[in-house]
Amino acid sequence: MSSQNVKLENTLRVERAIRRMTQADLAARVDVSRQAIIAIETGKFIPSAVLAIKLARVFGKPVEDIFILLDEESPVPEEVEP
Amino acid sequence: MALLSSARYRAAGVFLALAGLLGFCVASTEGLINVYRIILPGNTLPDGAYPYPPEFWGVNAILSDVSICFLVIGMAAVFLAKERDEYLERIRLESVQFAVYAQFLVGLVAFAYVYCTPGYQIENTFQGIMGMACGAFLVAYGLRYYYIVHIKTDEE
Repeated sequence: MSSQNVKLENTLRVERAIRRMTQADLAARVDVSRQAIIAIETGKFIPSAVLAIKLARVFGKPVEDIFILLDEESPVPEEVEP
Repeated sequence: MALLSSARYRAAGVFLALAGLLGFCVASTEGLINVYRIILPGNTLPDGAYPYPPEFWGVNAILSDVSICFLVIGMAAVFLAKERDEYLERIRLESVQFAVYAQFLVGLVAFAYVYCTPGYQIENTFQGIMGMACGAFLVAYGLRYYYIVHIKTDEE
């Protein structure tokens, strides 16, 4: 699986909004620049494993709940109606 | 990562690199003679010419060597400094790559211009072309880095 057909989406913006946290607040919590948070939220930058874990810890959730890996071979399964 | 220097030297590195570039340009065009002309105006001949003092070439060579040292140390302090986080490190790497292309392009265009224009001697302008290409590297790096970090990212 090459990195060309992989997309990493994240729910950082949603989690921040739930907790009324600014980008600057989150950046300070994980000790990175505000620009890095902006780039991660917009999908322009894929963080390292260490930074991803730090971000997930801020929201008290597993990394997989914050960062969702999408690729062409295994698209997101459609929700099955009951 | 372990070989990177502290970010506190970056501002001094920018100053050193620019001072080195300026000094190298002055030394390579023998511009130091104008300093002599200002400091010792009494040596000007009646026809307006200014004779090169005997120690001129030695001083010019020292200026050239010191300027190159400043340029190398300054560039090392800027490009080998630690960044605050991994995103800024990636932007820096991309900016260096962008600047290398800009340097190559400017050098190529300047070389082609001088080569194709009658009246220019490539031997006399080679140092100028190299200096301009080196300046293009620094300018392209600085502009792209600060545009991405402080303008483009903030707009998103």
